[in-house]
Amino acid sequence: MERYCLDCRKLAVDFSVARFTPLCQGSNPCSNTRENMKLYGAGTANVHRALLVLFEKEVWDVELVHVNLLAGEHMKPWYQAMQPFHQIPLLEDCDFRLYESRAIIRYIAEKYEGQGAPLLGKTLKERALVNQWVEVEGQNFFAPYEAISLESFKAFYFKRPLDKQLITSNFEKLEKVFNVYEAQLSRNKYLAGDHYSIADLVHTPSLHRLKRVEVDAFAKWKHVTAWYEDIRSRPAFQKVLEWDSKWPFVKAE
Amino acid sequence: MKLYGIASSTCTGRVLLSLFEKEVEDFELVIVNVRKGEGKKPEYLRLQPFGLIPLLEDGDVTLYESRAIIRYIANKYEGQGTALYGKDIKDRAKVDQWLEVEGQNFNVAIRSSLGVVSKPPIDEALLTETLGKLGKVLDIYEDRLSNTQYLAGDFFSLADLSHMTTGWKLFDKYKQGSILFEGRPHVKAWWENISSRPAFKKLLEMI
Repeated sequence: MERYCLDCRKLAVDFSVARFTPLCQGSNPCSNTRENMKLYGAGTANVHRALLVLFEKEVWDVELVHVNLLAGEHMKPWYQAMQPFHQIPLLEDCDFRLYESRAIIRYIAEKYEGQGAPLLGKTLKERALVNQWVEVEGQNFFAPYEAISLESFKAFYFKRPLDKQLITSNFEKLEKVFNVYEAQLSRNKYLAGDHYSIADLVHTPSLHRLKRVEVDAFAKWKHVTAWYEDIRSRPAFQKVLEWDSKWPFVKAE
Repeated sequence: MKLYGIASSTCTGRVLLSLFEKEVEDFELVIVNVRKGEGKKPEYLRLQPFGLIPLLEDGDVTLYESRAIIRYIANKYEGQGTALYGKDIKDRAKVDQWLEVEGQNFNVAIRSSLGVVSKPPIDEALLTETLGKLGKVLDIYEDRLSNTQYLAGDFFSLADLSHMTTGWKLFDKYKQGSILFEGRPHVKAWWENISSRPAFKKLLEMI
């Protein structure tokens, strides 16, 4: 596996000069009993949800590697060699690399199934419903949410007014999604049933971001609001927000 | 087991493929034609609140979203038919990663192209633009498939399967998509390989 020096970002031919996590150096990276988890990214909702699953699973030994999007670091060869779609986050679990936040979430939830909060459901049926609601997020919620979030950031960064039409039309798309969520959450405490799962987890950072764009983004849906208050106040998410301050990422206000 | 949908729909087809790969024969296809507005009927909306297809009813399990259904099929029938999720947790993670790539990067791009070719008269400039975007995604696939035989590794999985119904429409049904194979020999070889699978041929007979 190729290794890049975290300092000079060049392909390392001499492991001794490259600043790697000390525990993964050498020809046998996982001979140590201690594991080290690296999460590459910045302060975005997708990265937050990868960090969130680690914290829900009580995996505290995580090294955050800042990929400075504003400086175009995600487009640099050293990053694209690991994540060819030049997106964040990227997880490095010793010598195993994984991208796509929902895939990272599933992997961590399964790997640490025996510890921390149960996140996947117990039976075949429960696990299927959890997967269904994760897909609902990915296929129905995510695109309009992302459009709003990105526009909000661009307006802030380029110091121009918000494209109100774009924001409104995407909130209209979210109306349909929130209507479905409201109905589901009026019958169940969480999306996939009585228990918190990765289906709820994938939403927390995005809903948090959405409220920063429009504080009443989903205020009219009572059950959605109550559900958000529940998942937002979980200690693991509060810790994510605390850790977010470690990355000097410009926040869109 | 009841599968609600229509064989010509790319999403329903995705689920049919997984059933065929797993050699599951004992199910009924209940036609729900969303183009005729059948997805908006109240009795269907009670089951699938977005009014979309497919929907699976299996005993006390009612499930929608094709990529969730294919995972359920892969897990339920783990011991039979084609192995669709690899052999261990790392394999599964790679399958999930490429399922996300398909669902997010590939799917958005291919749907834009399909939107152009399926509604004549074809806007050639728009077709070139949408195929260009899909081409950029396939450049990454080309690089990946020059290292592994299939997307998640050297094993066929849900990740490859998930591409087949939309891929068929653009590459084989509407021939305009086949231009994307030029300069991408590994993508071409991968497509020819997976589209020659018996389960896929069985689906094509239904369309």
